[in-house]
Amino acid sequence: MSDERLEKRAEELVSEHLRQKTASIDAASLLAKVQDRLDHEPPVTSLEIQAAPSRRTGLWMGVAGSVLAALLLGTWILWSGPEASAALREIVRAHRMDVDRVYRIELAPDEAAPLLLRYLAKRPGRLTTNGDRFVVEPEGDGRTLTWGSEGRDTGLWAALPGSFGLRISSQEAHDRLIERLTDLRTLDLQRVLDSLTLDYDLEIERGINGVMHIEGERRPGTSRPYSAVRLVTRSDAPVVDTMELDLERDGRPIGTMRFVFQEQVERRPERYRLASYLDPNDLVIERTGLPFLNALSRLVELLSE
Amino acid sequence: MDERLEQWVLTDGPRAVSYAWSLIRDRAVAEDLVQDALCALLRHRDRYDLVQDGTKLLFTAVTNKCRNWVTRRKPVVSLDAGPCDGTAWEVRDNRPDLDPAERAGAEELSGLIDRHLGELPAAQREVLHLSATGWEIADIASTLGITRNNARVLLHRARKAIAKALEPYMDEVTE
Repeated sequence: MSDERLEKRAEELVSEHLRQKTASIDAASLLAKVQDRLDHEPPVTSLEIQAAPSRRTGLWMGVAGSVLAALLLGTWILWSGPEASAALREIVRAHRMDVDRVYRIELAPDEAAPLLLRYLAKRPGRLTTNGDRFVVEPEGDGRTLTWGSEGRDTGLWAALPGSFGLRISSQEAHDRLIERLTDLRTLDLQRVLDSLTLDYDLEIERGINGVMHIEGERRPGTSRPYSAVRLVTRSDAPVVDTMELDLERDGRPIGTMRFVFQEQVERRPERYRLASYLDPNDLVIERTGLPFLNALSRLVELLSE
Repeated sequence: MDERLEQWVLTDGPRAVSYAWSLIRDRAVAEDLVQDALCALLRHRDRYDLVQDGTKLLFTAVTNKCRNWVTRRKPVVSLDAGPCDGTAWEVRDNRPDLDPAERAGAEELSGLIDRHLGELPAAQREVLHLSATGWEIADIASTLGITRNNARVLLHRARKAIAKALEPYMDEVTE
């Protein structure tokens, strides 16, 4: 049997095996258990009411304080999850627009922070993003690393102008070594926004002049690397004004990363490409193997300086 | 819960349990994690169109929960280390046209497939399970949060590994 036929036949066998396994599950019993759990949970009419009874006194004091603040400052808290979600959907839609936006990156790393966070914290940088493309350019003189992505499906790249460029495929970006170096995906605002509706409980506070504050707290059981996300945006122009992420690794806080909107700049697709940051003779390392690992080690050295 | 959502749970719930079991190899935990994911989505059913998007949302949530569970359990057991002791899930082949010898053979093969699936790296197992249950590459990639190229590579490796492992039994089966 040819390899192709063999693989096809093997997958058919796996498919039939999984079909039998699925068929052996009592679907009605599963539905009954889910229904029973939902029936015995407290009713969910608002995000705040999900809290345990022991917290209610504190919450109502918070509510009273918020109402007072609303009267004094002209802000009002909106309770419903769907409304927060709808507002967020608008922001996600607006962030997908073909526009280049520049954010200043502010970092407050904790002691346990990985190398890139500490590196970026020492060298203030700016993030330019358009949908799922981004580039991070550290400010200042001298040879500095630039990071970026041409889109979610294309992985990441890093450039040391006058020296070399490195392409890290999405597969390699999942490698433990790179994961340990940093979670570069945190710099992809589109990815962060996309994850919010699914993995975070959202609260929204609407202020004067259309300013909205959206806060997302990660739901238990999800594996996002940020435990909380705070967004400031405006209802008349649903663009992310600031986004603050509480970063975590292995369940421990490692710092806070904040993106502050600076300006909208001329749209230039080439700014997200590795080639734009290299000299013509610079080496580009694209694959795994010794050169890749050597280049990666060099990056680690640079980040450790 | 309305009738359409009940139908969604009845259809996708068992598939998700089977998928979760493939990832963590413990049936009781798999069922718990799927129940958690279903409850979390149904609790917020006003936010999502579960009839339309529920399958992907459920499998994304189950994938995250399984990865999380494995991460927390790592000091004790690795997801890549094959089935946990005592948690094997044997499937009886109930096809009426099989004679006892054929039935024994089919069940033995089923056990072998289980064992070899358990020996695949976790990422390959995720992709192979979804592909073998009819998912398109684009949906697999977006559900698992990986690129399509990555999904294709993982699937190719998984198919190759499982074909190699099952090759000695393949002639018997295809005869």
